[in-house]
Amino acid sequence: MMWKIDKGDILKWLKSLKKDFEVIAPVKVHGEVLFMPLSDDTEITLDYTNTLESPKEFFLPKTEEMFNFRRKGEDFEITSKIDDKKRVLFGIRPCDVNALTLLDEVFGGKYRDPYYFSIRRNTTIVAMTCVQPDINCFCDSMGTGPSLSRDFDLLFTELDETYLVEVGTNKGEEILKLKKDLFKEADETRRDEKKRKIEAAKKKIKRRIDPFEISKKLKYVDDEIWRKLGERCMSCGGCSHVCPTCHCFDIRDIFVDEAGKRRRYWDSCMLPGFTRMAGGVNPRGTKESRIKQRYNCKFNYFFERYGRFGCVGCGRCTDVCQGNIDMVEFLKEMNHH
Amino acid sequence: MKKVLTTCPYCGCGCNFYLDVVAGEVVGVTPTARAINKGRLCVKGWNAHEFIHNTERLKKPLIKKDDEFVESTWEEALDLVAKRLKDIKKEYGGNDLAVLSSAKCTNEENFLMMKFARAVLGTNNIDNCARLCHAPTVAGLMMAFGGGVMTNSIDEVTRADVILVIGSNTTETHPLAGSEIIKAVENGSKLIVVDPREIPLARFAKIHLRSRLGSDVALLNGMMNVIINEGLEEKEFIEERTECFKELRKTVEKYTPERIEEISGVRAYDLKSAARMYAKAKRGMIIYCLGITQHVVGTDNVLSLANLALLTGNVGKEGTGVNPLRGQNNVQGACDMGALPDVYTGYQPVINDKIRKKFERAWKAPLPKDAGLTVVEMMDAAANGKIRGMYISGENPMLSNPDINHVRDALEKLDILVVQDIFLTETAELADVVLPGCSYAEKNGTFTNTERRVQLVRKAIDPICGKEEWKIVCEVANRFGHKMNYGSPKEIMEEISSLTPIYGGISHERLENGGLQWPCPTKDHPGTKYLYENGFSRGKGKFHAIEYISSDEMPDEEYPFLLTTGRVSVHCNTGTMTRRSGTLNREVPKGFDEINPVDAKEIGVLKGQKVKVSTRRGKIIINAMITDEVPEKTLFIPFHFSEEVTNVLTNPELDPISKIPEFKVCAANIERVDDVEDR
Repeated sequence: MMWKIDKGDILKWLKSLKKDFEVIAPVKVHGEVLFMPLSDDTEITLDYTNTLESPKEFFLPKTEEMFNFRRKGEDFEITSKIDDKKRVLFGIRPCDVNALTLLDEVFGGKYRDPYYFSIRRNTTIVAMTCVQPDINCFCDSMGTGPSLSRDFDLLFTELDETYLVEVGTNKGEEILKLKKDLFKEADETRRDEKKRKIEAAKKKIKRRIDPFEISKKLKYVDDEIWRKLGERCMSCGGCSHVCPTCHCFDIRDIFVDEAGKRRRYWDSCMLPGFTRMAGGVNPRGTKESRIKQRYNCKFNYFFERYGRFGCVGCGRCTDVCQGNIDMVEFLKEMNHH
Repeated sequence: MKKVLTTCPYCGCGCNFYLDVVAGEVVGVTPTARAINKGRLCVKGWNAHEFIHNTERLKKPLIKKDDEFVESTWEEALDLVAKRLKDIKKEYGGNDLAVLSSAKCTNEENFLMMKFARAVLGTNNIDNCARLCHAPTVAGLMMAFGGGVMTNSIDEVTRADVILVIGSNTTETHPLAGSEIIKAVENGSKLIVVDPREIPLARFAKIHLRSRLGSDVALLNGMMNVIINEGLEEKEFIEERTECFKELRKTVEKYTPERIEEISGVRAYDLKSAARMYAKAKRGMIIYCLGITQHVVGTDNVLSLANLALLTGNVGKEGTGVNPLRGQNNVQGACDMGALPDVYTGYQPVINDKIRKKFERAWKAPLPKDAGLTVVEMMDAAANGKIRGMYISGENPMLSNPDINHVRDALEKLDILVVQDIFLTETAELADVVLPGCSYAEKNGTFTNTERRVQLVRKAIDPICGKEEWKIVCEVANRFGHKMNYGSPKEIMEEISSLTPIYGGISHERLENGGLQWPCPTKDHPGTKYLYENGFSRGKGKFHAIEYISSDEMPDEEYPFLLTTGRVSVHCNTGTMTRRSGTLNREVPKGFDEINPVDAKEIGVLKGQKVKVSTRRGKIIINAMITDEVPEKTLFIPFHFSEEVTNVLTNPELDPISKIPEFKVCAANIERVDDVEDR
């Protein structure tokens, strides 16, 4: 069964969820859009393509406390902090949802990350189909958009002044029920409308790559090409910061007298110190080795490990690169040689 | 969670980003797609939050009792500060006191500090760290154009078809500008880099002139020699808009490419190529930094750059100009606010009677007539007992001044040293009273970036020390009986704007959307992107005929190496903030000395081994980094590390006009350290 909701009612619905959930939605701030928890004075907007930074911080915080400790006699008392707050993440795009499912693979497996999965478990994903791509988007090539067929609790699709709402899970149905009166049944013709919107969106995507071809060719790229590309990298770590699938972190302890805390912080393999070892040896001491590793990570190593590409085609790395590196341009050029 | 849009506290580019705040703590940075950086940040910017909650943040005032710091209340500390300063003023006069204001603090805070020095302490002995970096810019461009500032804007870099970068390791020290240069090159602009080192930016250059340290006047005169000889100068522009061309022409006639090759090591062929490339540009832009200014001929160097731009008509239009990259987030602002010994706000001279009377009326206090002392001069005066009290805010001369051993003697000799800072810096360790300051995340106010853009700094969390920083100096002033009572930083800016023609139209409300570039004389003026379109501030642009003179201390038998100093991308100046940032300090945790492989082989040192670097001032033990980024017989050491204090080595000799010390050149020796005893 499908539902529809009028554009003007979406805000009403989200506001009603606030008493039971922390609602995170696209909010207009200083003339741009950020994902923010809704408060009384935030202005949610439906007029956005995507945010510059992915919503990954709502699952893997930039600074996350793992536990705190305090001396107790001869011993230490350790208290873990697991975030189990109930949240709704509204308006997340298909590329970013796909990124989350990739992070599920990374943090899952034999050693499940309790912090990540507690947040994940307690967050209801209300995804939003893309009807208007950004200039650097290429989700279609990566199979991660512009819409989703799975991995959502609810999926919204804009059809003029009405939004189509599809239910993916019981979790999604639960929050829809909380303000049932705002949702009306949608008939099957809406599904066709949605299909048309998606096709139209695909046509607007300017960039196309073939990730399978690229993943093969990457293994044979000449060192000189990596060196030339590496020259432009300014080792700022910005690409890792905004990338929805990058997840590496550093762990540091803070001590204050007889107590303290252990936290983890976002890190980046594009920084030279990331792989530096005791004695100063650095297996990825050059910029070319780091950028080679980054592209292979996204297009080969992820695939080898999880059977899926590690890039979701959001284009953000190109948006923030200080060295003006356009990954898609580079990969296309490399593909031609 | 809330996200607060603010301006970066690190370099003079003035990028914006959001600070993420969760439960009263700043936990991260979010990029903005807008502002001048449009989504980009450098490694410092991405990690600009890391130092804010470091456990070493000063939370309470400290008073030194029996050589130990004891926590005190604000009352007790400020009473003591006021009393001791008052005593000195009463017995010896205001000129026995000196103030160092902070290029990291806001315009509003700098204004108050400057007002305090002049109206309350009665002295013009106020300076800021611009003295150590761009004082020659302020002096030199003032002499040539009538304004000591960047003529164009950062986003005009991509409009230039030829970019001449001289004495600037741009991608490391001003990443946003570096990014724009890379973009320009990609779009077809031609880049000329002049630097003795093989800096990363040089890889994008069409021509890289690896000139000998300190030979810039000769090189630039040489370029002008070529340009005039080949008839490439802009005759109409020179005729209509400049003066003193004849003197310049006569002088540069002597600087033939062959002579330049002798002095600077740059081949005549390359010099000619570079000169032609720049002169033939439709829009030629000069970008420079401390490789030009930190010399005893720093002002001469800047004047030579101005000469080159005037000669080719490359001033007064988009994508051209003479563009100094100011080092710190608000060193431009600190200068604009008059935290300088010879000017009030907006570069209005203190010796001008009419202007001084304007300020005396506004502040209801008599003001001192004569220009005061500069930073290095203050240290000399303190060492000679002529300065008895100093109030240092957000400055760390114990690491940033030349000849550190002399600085220590000077500061230790003072009757009273007050240091206001966010951490217990090397300078604060020597203080009698330490007053905790606030980081950029804890204040409202403005910073002015290198392109004269005044931008808002928005408070993300409450002051960790419990007091707004701008209130500190007000409370000291009040104890002198001089009423400084403002309601907010907004009000302080109102006063600044009323007294400062170039800031005449600046107010916090007007800055909400990307800031404004001064000159902005009135409330509806949109700000000024590039200067001198219709005339120079002094009327005509002035050529200055400059002769080459060598650096103060050249290599000799005892000290056969040239030592130069500088920065790395992950650290900011004396490391007060970046060395307390987890990610940034992890990147480069220790000092190092760059040495060319040929020299390394000769002295028998391997990578990472300890070496002893010595000069006539002192010596340090440091790790060697072997790289051909430095030419032979040249050493490079960054100055960020308190464990290996680079400035123990540097030469305090000053440029006679701008009083900047010669950080960039001195004679040194280097030996391998074998014995543990040698350390």
